[in-house]
Amino acid sequence: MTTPYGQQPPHPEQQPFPGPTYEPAPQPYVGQQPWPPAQPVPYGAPQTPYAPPPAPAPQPTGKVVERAHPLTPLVRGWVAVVAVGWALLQEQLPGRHQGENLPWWVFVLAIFGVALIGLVAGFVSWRFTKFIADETELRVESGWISRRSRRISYTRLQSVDVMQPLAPRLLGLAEVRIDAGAHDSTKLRYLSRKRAYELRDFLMLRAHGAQVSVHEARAQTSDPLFVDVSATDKVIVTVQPHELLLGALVSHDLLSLLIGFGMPFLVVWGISTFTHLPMEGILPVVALASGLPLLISIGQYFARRVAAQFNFTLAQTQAGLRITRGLTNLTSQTVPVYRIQSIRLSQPLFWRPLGRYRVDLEVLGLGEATTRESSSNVSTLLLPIGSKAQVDAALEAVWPGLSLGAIQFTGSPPRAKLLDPLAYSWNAYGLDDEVVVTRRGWLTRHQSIVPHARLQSVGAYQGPLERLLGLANVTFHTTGLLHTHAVIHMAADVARTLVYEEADRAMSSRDTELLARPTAPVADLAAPSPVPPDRQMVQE
Amino acid sequence: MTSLFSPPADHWVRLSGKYAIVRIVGAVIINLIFWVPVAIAGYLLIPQVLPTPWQWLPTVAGIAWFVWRVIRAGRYARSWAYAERGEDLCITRGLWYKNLTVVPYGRLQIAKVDAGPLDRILGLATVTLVTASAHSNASIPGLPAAEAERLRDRLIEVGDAVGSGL
Repeated sequence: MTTPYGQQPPHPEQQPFPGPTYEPAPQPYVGQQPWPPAQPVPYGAPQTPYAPPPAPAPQPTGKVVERAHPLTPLVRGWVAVVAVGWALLQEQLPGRHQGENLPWWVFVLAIFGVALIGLVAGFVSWRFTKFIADETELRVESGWISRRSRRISYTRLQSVDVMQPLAPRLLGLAEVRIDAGAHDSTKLRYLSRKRAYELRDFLMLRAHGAQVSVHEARAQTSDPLFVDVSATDKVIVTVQPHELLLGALVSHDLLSLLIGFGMPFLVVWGISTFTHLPMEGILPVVALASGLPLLISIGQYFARRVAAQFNFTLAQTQAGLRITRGLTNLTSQTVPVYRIQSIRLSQPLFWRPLGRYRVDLEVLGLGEATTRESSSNVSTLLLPIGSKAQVDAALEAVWPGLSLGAIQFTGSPPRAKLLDPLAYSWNAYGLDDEVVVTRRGWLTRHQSIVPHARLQSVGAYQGPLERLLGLANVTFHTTGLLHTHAVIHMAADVARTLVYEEADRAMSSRDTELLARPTAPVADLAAPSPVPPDRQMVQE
Repeated sequence: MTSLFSPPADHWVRLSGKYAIVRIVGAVIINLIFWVPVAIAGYLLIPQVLPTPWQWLPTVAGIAWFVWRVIRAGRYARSWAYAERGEDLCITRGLWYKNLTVVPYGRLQIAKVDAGPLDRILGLATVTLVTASAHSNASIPGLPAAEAERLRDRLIEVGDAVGSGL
């Protein structure tokens, strides 16, 4: 019988506030037998006189409680040191104060003080952070003043990412970020790079339902330094740096950046040239005021679009799709394929002659914080820029057998030109047995691919003008917060048929998917066993 | 002829007629909070800028808007309807901007019943269907309270029987 959430029997190790030293479990309690569980010996069964020599037990009996790498406090403290050093250095600059400057020993003392505080804080946080990842559970304990213990279900993992910002990367450390549910992600920082990859591989294998042991997963892990691709992985797409640079240069984002910051200067320059107002004096001021932010934002723009995506590699691994990217900060993101809810292809105006596309994916739990392509965050990018062939390869990796070219599209009727002269020829929808594809947008052409089985609900809407013309829009709702998948200005009767038939397809395709789930081990979501394996152990 | 918003099965189930009262009371409250201060301020301040009849402009606008809301309340309440169609629930609403939402029962995660103070006085309640998508936005206001609870229970039962949500 499944116990409802919140009513699980208390975990024997989770006493309210355990002291810091409780690592070895005194005895294996029920539900924490070594893996694989020993054959139950009936009570009172005759003891064999000659006990067979105990096989070399691969598993230790107690829990393996791990900590972050001991260098962690150093990495987390140095940021504070640099910040204070910088602030003090600015104080020292001549001309800031009219009076005398601070004596030099204040300078040194302050840096040492901050460094000490940073180190102590880092040490305390390191001391109280522990995690357990073994065959039965994934648990992270942290916090000094307020304790926090998280236990994450292996089968509900959304993605596991390994991040290496510059400073930890230099020391050979990495951060493991575990996403599950809509809650903020659980961060383990910092582990040694090898251990981080090991943990990631183990978690992802478990997320796919494979009953691997820690040791098996460990044996499969390699320790790559630059690109996180091991021998068994299949690289699907590698994006060349010049492609990234091209994509960043030829984009209307850059153009709007230039126009936005250049406009004040142009206006003032125009006024001063074509009128006789005395404006020459303020021209340099305006140039500086708009030029400096422009330079900064262009720098940020290229850092985001090129440096953060540098060496972008999409690979198919045993544990899902893996995206590795970054120049200074190396990010390695792994997403189980069956968690992908939808995919969107975009083609900005200037990319059309180049035949390049950008591909985003929607995964539940990656949430709205990830719309930016920042270097430290997980992103929803599947491909920052790619040719048709690369896009097809990436799609093939996500949904094998999907061929966009074979799908027949239905467009808007000609009367829709009145409402939508620019995008009229692009607006369309197409269907096959697995997915529904919608097209819209005029400046950037979007193409959303939603599997019927991932659809949550279907909607239609019609404004007064559209009603006059007999047109309507259809929206497809998925769990993603980022985009709505809509096809606009369809003939009203076509829209009606589409809405109702799509609702039917959504149900029937989910039924067939549940009956034959693509990755066999994941079937414990739907299989007769009512309890996921990792919870079974506790409830016996 | 079937238009986009014709009933999917045999007929739409309309809301309780009392829902129009909820809309009217809502319009009164908004009038009190927003239009009354605007009208007073306009009456006091406009004469300093414009000639005499103009100080009544905000008052007239407020009254006009209120009358419009009252006239439309009945039609708006009647535009809102739901229907069960096989394995999904269809909801339609709106006068100018017409909406249709179809939620397969299998995607249902939560069915909620809410009733505000005014709803309770009139014996009404709102049923909301929650799926894993934030865009679904499927709710049926102005149902008689007993009907709302019956619908909620029915939705959850059918949803359980039909299949998985995510």
